[in-house]
Amino acid sequence: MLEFKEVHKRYPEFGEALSDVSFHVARGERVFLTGHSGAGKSTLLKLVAVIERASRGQILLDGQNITRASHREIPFIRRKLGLVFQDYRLLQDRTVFENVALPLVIAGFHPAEVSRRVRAALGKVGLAAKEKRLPQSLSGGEQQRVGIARAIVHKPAFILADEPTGNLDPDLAREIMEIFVDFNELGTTLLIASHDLALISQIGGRVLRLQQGRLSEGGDR
Amino acid sequence: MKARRRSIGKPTKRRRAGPSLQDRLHSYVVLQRQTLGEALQRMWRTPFSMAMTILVIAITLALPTSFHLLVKNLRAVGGDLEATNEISLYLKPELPNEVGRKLAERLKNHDQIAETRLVTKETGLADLKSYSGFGEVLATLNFNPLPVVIGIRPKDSLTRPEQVEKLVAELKTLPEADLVQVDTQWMHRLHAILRVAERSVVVLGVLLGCAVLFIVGNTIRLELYNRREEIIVQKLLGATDRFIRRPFLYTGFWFGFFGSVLAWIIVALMLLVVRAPIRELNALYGGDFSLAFLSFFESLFLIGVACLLGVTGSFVVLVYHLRRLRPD
Repeated sequence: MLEFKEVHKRYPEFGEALSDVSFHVARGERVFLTGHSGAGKSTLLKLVAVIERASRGQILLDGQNITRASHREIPFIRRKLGLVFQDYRLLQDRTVFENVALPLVIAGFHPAEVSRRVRAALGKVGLAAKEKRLPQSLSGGEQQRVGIARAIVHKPAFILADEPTGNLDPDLAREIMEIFVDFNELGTTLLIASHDLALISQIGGRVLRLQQGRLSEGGDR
Repeated sequence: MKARRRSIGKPTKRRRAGPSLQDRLHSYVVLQRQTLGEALQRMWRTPFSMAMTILVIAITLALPTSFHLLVKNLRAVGGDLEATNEISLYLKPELPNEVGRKLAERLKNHDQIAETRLVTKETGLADLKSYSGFGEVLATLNFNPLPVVIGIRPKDSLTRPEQVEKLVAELKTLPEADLVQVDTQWMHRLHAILRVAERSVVVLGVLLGCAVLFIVGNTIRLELYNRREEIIVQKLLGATDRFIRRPFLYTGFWFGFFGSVLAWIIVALMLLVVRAPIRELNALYGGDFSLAFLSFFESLFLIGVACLLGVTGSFVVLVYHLRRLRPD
């Protein structure tokens, strides 16, 4: 599903953020990316979503070398992914329904199909009754559920989440993680960055540990 | 499973998966209509700034349009005046009335002359006596010093001053002619002025067209700045530049459209304001001049060009700024 081969990422201003990172994620796997803040977790996820480009090395997603993707190809790579963010990144002036519908509208789905899928996605995260609300009127946990619904509505094979529970209290964090696990059990590949080691050990799954830009655990070497 | 998913899921932009052309077209049309409406709704959310922008565009467009209308009407007036322009043919003073009468008859058959009017020596003297106030002095003359004059009205088909001048040159070669008078100088001047004015309309139009381009472009740039978070989220969810551009292009279109319609209304109101004084002027000169407004095609041209400028202005800004607006 995803393969990093000797990937380096250097920022001109900050120096080396990732050095010589190599690992595999198989289809259907549940992988947690841990490490202190600043260890390079976000950078690694940004490379997968082609928000940043690797300075050296290769990244293969579904067999495609995304380090060489052209500007035009990037949107189509992102459509294969479901992205979940720590700060949810919902559009505040649109309803829950419209937020979740966005990936489908972007991909050009038929309006009837959009409604059907959005309702299904909201049902899965337990927010079916709140589709007409604005994100501001929801709690943090509910907003993240909207974020998850938006990430899975187009049925991606791969979900990437950057500290999805970072802003939530422990009970809510657990609930959110369990939603992810449910999708994983249905076959969706998960790569979740989190520094909450206690929660990760409760949930269970393979762990990739980053230390100062290098993989100290779970890598290919 | 795969086949089934394809038959329900109808992604229109996916390259390989095969929703029918009809489905794709339907989704596309629905999306276009939605975006067009959404762009309008979004503009309505900030009614004040929208109204200001549209007003500025309208005034900018009304300027060259009204100038064009002025030139168009002046040209019509010029044409009217030329048509009534009379050539005066003064015969040699020694020639009697009878020669004049025959010449007038002959000239009437000339293919460029519509009408001739004979002024005999006697009527000329009488006119001079009654109009000039030289009556006393003239009475002391024991002979009539005035020549026979033939007033000639060229045919209406002679609209250009060059054509009239050619006729004048021909009349000058007549053996009976002493002096041929026609005031073509001012016609030349009027035409030259109108040509300058027409050229100015074009220059002004291009210049103010550029202004509209910049007004729309700048408005779109601000809008882009206000909505950058939304654009970034859309990019993260796999939106192409084309998808992100679409609503802004429609906003540009609406600005051009409403701006030009308002410009049309402004010009129409200007015309209404000057209509009364023009009518008075008409009455004074006994003319049958009617004020012309924009024709159907001119109106269509105005609105079409404005819409095009709106879309182009936003497109240029979008291409430049969307490249730079990237996640993180």
